[in-house]
Amino acid sequence: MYRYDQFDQKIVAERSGQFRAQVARRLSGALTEDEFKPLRLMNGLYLQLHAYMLRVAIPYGTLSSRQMRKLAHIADKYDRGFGHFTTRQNLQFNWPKLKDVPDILDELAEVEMHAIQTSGNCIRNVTADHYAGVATAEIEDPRPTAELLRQWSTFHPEFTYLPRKFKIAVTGADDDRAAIMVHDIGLKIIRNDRGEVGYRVILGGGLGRTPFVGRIVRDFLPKAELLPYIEAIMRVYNTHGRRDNKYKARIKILVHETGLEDLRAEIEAEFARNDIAAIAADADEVARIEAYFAAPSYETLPQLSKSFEIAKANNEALGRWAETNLADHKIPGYSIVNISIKPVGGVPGDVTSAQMIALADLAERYSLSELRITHRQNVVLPYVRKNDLEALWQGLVGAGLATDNIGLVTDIIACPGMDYCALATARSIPVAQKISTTFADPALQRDIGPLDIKISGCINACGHHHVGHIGILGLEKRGEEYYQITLGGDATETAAIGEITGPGFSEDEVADAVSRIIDTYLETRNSGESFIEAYRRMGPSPFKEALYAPH
Amino acid sequence: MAKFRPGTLRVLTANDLLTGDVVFLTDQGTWSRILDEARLAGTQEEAAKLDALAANAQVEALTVAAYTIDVERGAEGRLRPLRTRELIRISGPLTRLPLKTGRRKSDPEPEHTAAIGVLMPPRGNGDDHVSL
Repeated sequence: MYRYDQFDQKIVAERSGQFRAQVARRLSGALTEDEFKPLRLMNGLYLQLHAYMLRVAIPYGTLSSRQMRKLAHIADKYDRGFGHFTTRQNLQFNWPKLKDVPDILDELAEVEMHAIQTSGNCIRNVTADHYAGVATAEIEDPRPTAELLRQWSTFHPEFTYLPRKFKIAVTGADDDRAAIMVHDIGLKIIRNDRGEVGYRVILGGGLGRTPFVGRIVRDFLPKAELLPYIEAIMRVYNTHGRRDNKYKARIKILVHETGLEDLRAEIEAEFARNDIAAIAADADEVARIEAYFAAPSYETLPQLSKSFEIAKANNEALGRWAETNLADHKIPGYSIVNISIKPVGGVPGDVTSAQMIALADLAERYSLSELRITHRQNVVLPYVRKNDLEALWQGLVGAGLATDNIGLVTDIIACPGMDYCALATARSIPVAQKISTTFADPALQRDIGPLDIKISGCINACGHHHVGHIGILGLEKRGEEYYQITLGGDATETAAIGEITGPGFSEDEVADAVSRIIDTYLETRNSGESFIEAYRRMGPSPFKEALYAPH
Repeated sequence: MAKFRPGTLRVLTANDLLTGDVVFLTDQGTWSRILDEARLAGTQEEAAKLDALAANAQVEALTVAAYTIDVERGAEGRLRPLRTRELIRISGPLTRLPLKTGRRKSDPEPEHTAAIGVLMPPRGNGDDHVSL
């Protein structure tokens, strides 16, 4: 994985020092809160309901075991012994003290981490496919692109005060695990008819109060032209993006209001005006970055591990876990291991410091010391030999991390909601807990099959409810929480925004409402048909009938 | 300013600048972590004074994001916020925290009163219109 050079280390260390001075000036009264707030936000420090919250960047979700150990240390020393993995592959600490944050940033800098680009109207932490570099059918590893974008965008003077925040996601595979269709810019690495590798550029996707699926703005962009083209997009957005209304300031609104064709023409004109050679990344620098992501030295192994096959056959729990939590690896004899951070009845994405240490230990022992954080709030070990899977699973069982539910009904995405977030209008966590408890039975989960439930505690949609097969949006009406349900959303390459079913449900009613939706699916599905396939075939009617018809 | 409804009570709340803890302005002009120690506004005029304090520079010197909330007196005589959001803000996440205690050893106990700074003279000194 990428390692900081002297420049990276210097800017992160300097930034930490600057923030220490800014905190001192705030505490002395030299800075007002109005003056200080944008500074703390630019360092990832928010104020939530009960306390400050520090959002730590995990660029494209890739993390070393050393970095994970540091996060555990920070959780114990400065926080309350746990952290929360977010839907943007980052980690949030919920209880840091302002006076401690400069020390925390120093500690993060020691392991090449920071909280830059996790807030503010800048280009945010770039996200990527969590199977990057190990996925089958991948054209290229998307992480060198994400790292190049990180280096280009960090402290870019022209794009530090954009009309609104800006999110970029990258994938190199056909199976979109990075939700590129619902980002401001989605980049898909493709190969054209001439065998050249480049990008398909998707523009104007997004969630929030006005969700849109992104549209193709450039069908094929040569790799070498990435930065000049992205810079052209950013310049057009910076010029024309609305600053009079924050709810209409994202580029998705600009695309919608301007029209894709007109905006594309403007981007292309700006691109043509650019000095492409001057802006494009230096080939040597690209090669330097790519070298950090070179494939490790894999062992030559048989595709199947006899010992693991025998172990699975003799251990039902191990067999269940293998069925849901393992993904095919591009190298024979290896597996991609998904570690669920969604224990039944637990808080999606929350990990204790002890679990962080266990994850670091297991990554060191079985996955070349590397981990990935997924936008689905789970963890991936990308380099596990099949011969090691049983031992790894035993370790996960010991750490309370062996939940076998990846992609199933209890693998629920949920934002922190009103249990933590100052913007939230309703709680997300208890709804997720009730649903996962309702469907705890492993056999029932497998009978239901692949199903994405996504819950947001407000219209800002951090829980990606718009693209959940079943989406749940928490709102407040006359002081009471209630929950709107959407159906048919999809965050993958077949992206779709879910449709609202009708009136919302109280907190007491919402888990039962989800049960009625799932019962309807089970009763009406064709053989082998997943929930989303059944929904697409039947439309919303039978589900609305189940939800709203008098019974 | 939120409309003041007769029969309700209003208090000034904020987060402590240093720790982020939820605090309430007391009658003594200090900040307490305990809602029951909050200065209460029971009239439109008193509520307006609290609302005005939220934007006061001296308030901002010690706290972050000060604003007023409406509360009521519960059956046991203790104050409780009217909105779920504020109830959660005071009680902490309603969901169980991942650790047994969910609290650092160095953190104060929930019932601990901490005066984190004198904001204004106590009320009852003959000047209810304290200029800050």
